[in-house]
Amino acid sequence: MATATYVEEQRSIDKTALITGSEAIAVACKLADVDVITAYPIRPYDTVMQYICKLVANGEMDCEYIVAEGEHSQFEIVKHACACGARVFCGSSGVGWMYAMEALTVTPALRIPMVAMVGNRALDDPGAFGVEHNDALAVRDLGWQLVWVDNAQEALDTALIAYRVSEDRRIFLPCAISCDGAFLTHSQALVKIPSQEKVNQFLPRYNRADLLLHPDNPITVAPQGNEDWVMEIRRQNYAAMERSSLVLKEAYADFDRIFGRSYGNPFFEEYETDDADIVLMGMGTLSTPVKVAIRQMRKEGKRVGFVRMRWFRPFAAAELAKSLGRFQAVGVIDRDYSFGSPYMSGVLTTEVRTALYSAAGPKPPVLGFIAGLGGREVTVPDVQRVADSVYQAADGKSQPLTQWIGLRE
Amino acid sequence: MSYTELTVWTRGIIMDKEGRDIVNSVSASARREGKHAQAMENYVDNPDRTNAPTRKYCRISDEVLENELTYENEHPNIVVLVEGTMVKGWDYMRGMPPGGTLIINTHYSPEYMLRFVPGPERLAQLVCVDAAHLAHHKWLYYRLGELGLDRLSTEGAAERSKLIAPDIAAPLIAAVVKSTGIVKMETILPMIANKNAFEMALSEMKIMQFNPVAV
Amino acid sequence: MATYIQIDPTQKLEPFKSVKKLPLEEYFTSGHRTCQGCESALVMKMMAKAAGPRSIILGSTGCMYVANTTYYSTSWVVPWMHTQLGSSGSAALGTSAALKVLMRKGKIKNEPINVIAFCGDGGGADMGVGAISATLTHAEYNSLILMYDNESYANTDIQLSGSTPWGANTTFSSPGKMKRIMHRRWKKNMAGMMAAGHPECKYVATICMSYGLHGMNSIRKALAIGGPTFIHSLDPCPKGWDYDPYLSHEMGELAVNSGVWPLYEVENGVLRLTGRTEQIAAGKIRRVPVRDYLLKQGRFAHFTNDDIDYFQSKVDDMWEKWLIPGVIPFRKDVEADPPPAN
Repeated sequence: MATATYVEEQRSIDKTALITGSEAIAVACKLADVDVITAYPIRPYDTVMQYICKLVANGEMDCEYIVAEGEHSQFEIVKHACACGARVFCGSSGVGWMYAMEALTVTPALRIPMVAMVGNRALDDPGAFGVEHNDALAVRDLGWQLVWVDNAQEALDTALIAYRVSEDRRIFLPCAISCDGAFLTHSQALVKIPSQEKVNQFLPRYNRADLLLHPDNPITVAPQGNEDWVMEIRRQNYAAMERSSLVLKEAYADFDRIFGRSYGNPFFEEYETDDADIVLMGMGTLSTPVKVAIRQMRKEGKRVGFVRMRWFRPFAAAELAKSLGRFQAVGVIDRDYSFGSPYMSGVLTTEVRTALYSAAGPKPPVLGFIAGLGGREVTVPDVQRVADSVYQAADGKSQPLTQWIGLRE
Repeated sequence: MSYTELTVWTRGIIMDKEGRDIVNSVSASARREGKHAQAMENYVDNPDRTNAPTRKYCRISDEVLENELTYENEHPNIVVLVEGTMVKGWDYMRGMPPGGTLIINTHYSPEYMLRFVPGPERLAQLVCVDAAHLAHHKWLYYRLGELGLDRLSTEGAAERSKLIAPDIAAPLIAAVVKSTGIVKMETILPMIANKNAFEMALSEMKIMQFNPVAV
Repeated sequence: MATYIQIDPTQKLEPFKSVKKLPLEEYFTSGHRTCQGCESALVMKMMAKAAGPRSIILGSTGCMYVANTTYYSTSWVVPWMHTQLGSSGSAALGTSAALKVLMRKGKIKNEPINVIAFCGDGGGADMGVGAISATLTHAEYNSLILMYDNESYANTDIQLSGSTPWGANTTFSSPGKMKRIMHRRWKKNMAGMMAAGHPECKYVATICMSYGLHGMNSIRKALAIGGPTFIHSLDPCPKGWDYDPYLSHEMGELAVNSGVWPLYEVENGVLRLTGRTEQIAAGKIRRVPVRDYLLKQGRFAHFTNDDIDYFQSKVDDMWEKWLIPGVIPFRKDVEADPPPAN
């Protein structure tokens, strides 16, 4: 979506602009002084590459901007650039992301701190431009750090945080920033754009250190491992992902200190949970209709809260279980599917149940709801129906463990 | 609480930027006036195709917009047709509450155009403005290529220039603002690139008023 | 005229004058476990020697990955990185782009560094052809893509690839009682395709390491000329071709002398037949019958005289009927191509 990109206020050196989620990430790439960027068209993520192209053409950004011949090459090119010490950015959507799957697999395995944007889009077939989270979730087991944002400001901020965390020598894992197609990639919001000085203070230069591929450091990267070493290498990746939670917390604290904008708990956002009987959960822009519905339901005396998962990998299981233990029942709204999974629930529902199962303390019932597939709007009445069902479960009445919401019967 | 929806019907590629400029400038002005406002395109009309109809939306409210993730404007108070022949063929009046405004870019009079409007009883006013003429646009239907102001502006990310309404959008914005008062003239005027066409439209537009219809 | 393409300086790599004047330093050394008589390993060794120490080498999956690098025992003295089977083109492009931008921004020392990505015929002619083609159009990134062609997926289990010659016995085309010829596709003309399809690519060559000095000098030329370049090397493979390893060198010579494997280079768009091929084309030496080449290899042991005649006729066509003999398969005259009697 085009923008009337006027400067709303010129306070100090930060500025505010009316931009889309895609443009916010493009601006973050510029602020992060990204070195190599590869593009390939697929809606809805590709608007970010159009903005970056303009930034490069206007001389506002110095990087190698390469248009690849497919998503597989797109991700392979930046993977190799990153191995040579370049800060890289890439992205895709839907089936494009799946086309790059081989490259996506090796990227965390090679400890490449790539930052990618996923403009969440339904997988084919049939073709759909709308949002579904199954594309990004496909890499959930591979070592990608996965984050869902719900507004353009958060997209910009999270991109900076993603570089900081991914490129930390303790981590060296890629990060995918998921932005809901259309709702976030194509809609405008006022975004505070931080000054270059503050970004430089927050984000150190990428240092590949002992893993740099350069004639001065003649290493052999990824030789054939087999059964005698692969397990130890996997364990290193496991440890890196384990450390990721800690490094994320550090980064968010620093972000707050330098930019003066706090996100509270980095891993999930809580809305009206202090006195809530039941809570709903979800990821991405689902938060908008859910928050509206909660405001309405609260006027009717229903104490409903909302927990929006921000970081899906690493998954803050213990913290989440502790938080959810306060409520009588939990309803998780999935914008994805996992056919044949336990109780046929969506991906997030299954993960939340897993987090609760092993936790000490109370375990409220968790109901799964599948909604908004193919980009279908999740309406306020939809959310109210979800809440009604969760209330029933809280009262001890039996409810189906997985329900489809907003489905044409 | 006041809540207004503006829907702009335009033609893909050749008049895409014009349609986008209308919703963007109105939304930006409303924000400056302290209202809550949103401008967006119809997501599935995009990627737009040359000459195929495509919709742009604007929503303005005194309170926080609770439907900002709704794809379409379901009850447009104001409808703009960026190209005159769009008056025939589909129901752009769908969902319009009584008392609505229809603005058409045409050299014909409102009296003439009214016969093509589906459901005219919902209109409070029909406005015709010869935007192409006022903006000195080459309006040659048999040479579509000359209509395109910015063909690369599809989805807006790669617009050639950041200028707002350098062309036929300017008179149309003038018609929207003058006939409905949706935003103040003084907030929107500084954004408009083609001020000449904007100001000419204020005097040259033809407004046809209807008696208020009992709801 | 304005310059639109900024090619970074490359290393000065003069051709080696003779075998005796080769440097002694090796950059591909012991520690690998390739076959006895492996010509591809020889290509790696000579490629690294030709490129020298200031090089980064990327290797896509294949024999030269799996057999050359075992964890904790690499044979590479220069920096080396694995890339995926179809990604040799992307690997070259990404590495070269990173070096270019990091040097431009002053983040690393500014110096010419060779970037070489190699792939087998499976990774190059089959899966990775799109990525290689794309890289050859990115004229401002210096790199060399070397395809070592042993005419099958010899790393896995000798399965046929798009580069396997007609009729060869592979584990995916083994002859049976009813069908003798299971592989009925003619070998892809990869170097010709790359040369013809990429006008910005300054250097495409075919080599065979039976002519080592020629091969190494081709590699040096490809690295020094600037921009993306492509070399197609035919590597006799005792495992996949089924012959005694001591015959590797001779097998390469036979491929060239029989006309099956023409040696040529396309430098800045100018085609030049090289080595023995040049002499064949000039009529100075006669082509050896393909029978001599085919029957030394177990993979053609099931061939009948008809099959050999067909093979010979296709090779003859290549020399007599192609518009540019041995390089581009456009015909001089319209003519039906009769299928072989089964």
